[in-house]
Amino acid sequence: MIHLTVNGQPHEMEVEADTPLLWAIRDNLGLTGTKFGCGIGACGACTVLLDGEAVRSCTLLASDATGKAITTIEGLSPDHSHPLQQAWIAEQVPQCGYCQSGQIMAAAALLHANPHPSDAEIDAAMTNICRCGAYGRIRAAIHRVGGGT
Amino acid sequence: MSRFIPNRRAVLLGGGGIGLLIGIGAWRASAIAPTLAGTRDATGIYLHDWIHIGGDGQITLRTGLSEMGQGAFTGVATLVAEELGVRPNQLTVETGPAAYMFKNVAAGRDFVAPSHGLAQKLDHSFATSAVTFMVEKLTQQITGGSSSMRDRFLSARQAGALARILLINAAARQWSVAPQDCEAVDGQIRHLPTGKALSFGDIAPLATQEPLPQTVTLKPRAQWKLIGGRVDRVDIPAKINGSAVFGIDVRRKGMLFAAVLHSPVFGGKLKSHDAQKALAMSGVTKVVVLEGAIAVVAASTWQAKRALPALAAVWDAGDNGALSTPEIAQRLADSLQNPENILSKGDFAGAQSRAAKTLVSEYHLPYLAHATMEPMNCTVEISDGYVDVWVPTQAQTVTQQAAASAAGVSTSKVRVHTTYLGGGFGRRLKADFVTQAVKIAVAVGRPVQVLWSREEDMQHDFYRPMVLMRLQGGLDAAGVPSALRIAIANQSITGHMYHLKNDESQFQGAAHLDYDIANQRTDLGTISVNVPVGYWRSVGHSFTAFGVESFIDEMANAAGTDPLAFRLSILQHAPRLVALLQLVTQKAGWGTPLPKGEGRGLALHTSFGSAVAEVVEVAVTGNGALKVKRVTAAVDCGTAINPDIVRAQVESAVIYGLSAALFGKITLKNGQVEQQSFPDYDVVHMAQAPEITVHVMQNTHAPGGIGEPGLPPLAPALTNAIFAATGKRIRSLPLMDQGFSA
Repeated sequence: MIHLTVNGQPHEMEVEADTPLLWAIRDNLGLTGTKFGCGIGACGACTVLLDGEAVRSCTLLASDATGKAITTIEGLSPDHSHPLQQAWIAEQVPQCGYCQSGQIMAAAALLHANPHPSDAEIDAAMTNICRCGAYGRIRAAIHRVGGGT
Repeated sequence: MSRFIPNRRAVLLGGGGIGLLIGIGAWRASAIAPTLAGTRDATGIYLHDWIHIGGDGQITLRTGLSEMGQGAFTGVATLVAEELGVRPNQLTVETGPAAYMFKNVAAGRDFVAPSHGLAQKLDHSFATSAVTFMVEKLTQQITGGSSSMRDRFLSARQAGALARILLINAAARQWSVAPQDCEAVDGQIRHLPTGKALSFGDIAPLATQEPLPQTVTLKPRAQWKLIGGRVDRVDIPAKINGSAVFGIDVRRKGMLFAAVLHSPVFGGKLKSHDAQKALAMSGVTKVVVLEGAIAVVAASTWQAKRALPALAAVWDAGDNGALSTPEIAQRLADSLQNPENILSKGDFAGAQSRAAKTLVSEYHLPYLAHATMEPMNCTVEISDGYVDVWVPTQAQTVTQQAAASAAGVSTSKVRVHTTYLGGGFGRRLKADFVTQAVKIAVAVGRPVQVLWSREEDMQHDFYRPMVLMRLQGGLDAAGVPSALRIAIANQSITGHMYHLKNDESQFQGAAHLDYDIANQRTDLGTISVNVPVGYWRSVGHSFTAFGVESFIDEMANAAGTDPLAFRLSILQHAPRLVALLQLVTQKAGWGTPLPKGEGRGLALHTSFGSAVAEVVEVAVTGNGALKVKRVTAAVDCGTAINPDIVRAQVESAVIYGLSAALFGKITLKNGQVEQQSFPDYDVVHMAQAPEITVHVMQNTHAPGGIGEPGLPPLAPALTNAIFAATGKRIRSLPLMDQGFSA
């Protein structure tokens, strides 16, 4: 039995010791906004916040997330009111949208640590893959929130 | 056609409070009335989409299209909303079931063709490419070929206009006023002299009783409020809060999860495995042996995945166990010894022999995977004699047929529910994963979701074919190109499926060029090899443009002419393309000085009814470190229904094409794909993404396609830029194998 705090809610669940946090979130808790892309931490589709920092939940053991605050896309703001969500709409960022939960969570972690990131800082922090190639719009949306250009 | 005569059968009367139901594109075919909730089919029906206006005022647009990021939902909603007098986001857009009513059946051929008139002018090869594509398209409900808006530009507006007129007439009758004094605005019919209004929901039931108007006149272009303006995508709100349902997000009561292992070699067979060890693991309920694959079914995705190694599967490689990329390369070269002639214009051989200067170059391109962000998956539930399939697919009827065949039922017993697609790019025109999921569901007897790992997805794709192109050209004494021969070698994608002698996808974009060169021939070598190939974003154009636009640059260099001036000199018959080149080069600062080690490259290509020109600007340092600094694109796609989506699709095609040009290759060793996941099939990340500017030409021609045409010019513009920067001509991709890093 492990205990996870996801989006402020405590949960208990029975999972195998090797279960990645991603599958505990998706299959045990039913929060499907966090996506599976590669399973080896390469693409970032599974990005969630762990105590405010971006982590790739497909390679993090669920048990290693106990005692920490886990935030998924569902916990950001369901009514689109978060500044990043507003910026994502203003810049019309998503295409297929599959990677966007992870992109938004990575951007949230970046802006939490660095409210006004430069282009180089965005390049360094935003390493999630988008096969639709929405990178220019993601950058513009982050700048829209961070006040950069 | 701004006026048309509606057919009674176009208006589908709903009883029991269903409201007004109108089929888009129905009035030329013998439509009958399907019900909104049902899946009734009838031969001869030809409906792209339905509009339903409920008594509650809810407007539903149930389309035959899949939304995979290309903006089709928003596009079709915009066309309907423009005429109907609502905002696009007042429409609920969803993909309808697989059904004849969404098929582009043969009866629709004349309906589809007129909207491609521009295409035929812009792209001479489109006429033949359309034939090949339509063979598939007309018999299947698919989203592909950058065709959605071309197919619906007229029909969706006609349906919206017909609905508007019926609603106005019903309201006018209710008020005993003249219909011409009424208008449809924001979901209401208003009587202009008095200001009184009725909501669409209140009028919809009455509108079903209205006689059809004699003619329906579409809004003139000058009155458009939505088409050509800023319309936000209707699918974005659900894609920023985790609520959008993709294939892997489908949940059914009592469902199980399956993980799959395929034969590493194409066509291999399972020799042995240990089911007991896997079955002993927690949560595992079943091991299912499939054709060339084996699956573990468990209570959760992770429980299924972690049990796969326990199977200790051993495979018999079969006949393909020795197949490797160098052998395929040799066979491609061999096939050009005696190729088939596709096109001959003028006298290539004679002109070449008289040329003052001749050139020959070979270009090599690898197999490519689609690598959609969402790996292949499918969810199946079999109950009460029905097979329900939830799947991110570009091909609903292909899915339906695959599921019916796998379950041993008729297609009428298969209900296809299309989710959002986490990328398509052509991969999801296939239904191999559907067949697999249905077979597993049959074996398990419970709802099941099959999800492939990234590695399985990458190693069991239907790849963009590997290609060899050999180009020969001649310049006369004045440096004018007088002769061009293009010889292409690759595999056929559709030939084996449709028994077509020539598969247009093998040479599209290389048979009828935009350029006016008096003596041309195109030849094709076809090899048959057991590597699955399929449609990959822009299909044949993805490689023909690389060969042709690289070689045009080589000829310009041999002639001592600027690449822009050289192209303009052989485009004097094509003013739209000249304007496009002038726009893109002006915006990119073509001809202005750059520091040493930097360069600009230009390429132009027409595909799917649209022309795109791109200028790529690069900086290369001595050790091969390549920085793609910016890409400037200009697009002539006729009427841009949604200019921001046009820009987004070109941005997307540039990045997709750049990923392939820099990193993309699928290679085989001993019958097995060597690449497994994103680290070894790398793609462009944020830090490598150039600044992209897209300029959309404004004109009043019918819409061209936009999902694909931005891709073909990227690779040649990039390598032409590297030549400009370094003097090094790149004829093989990816660049990472040519001494470059990015």
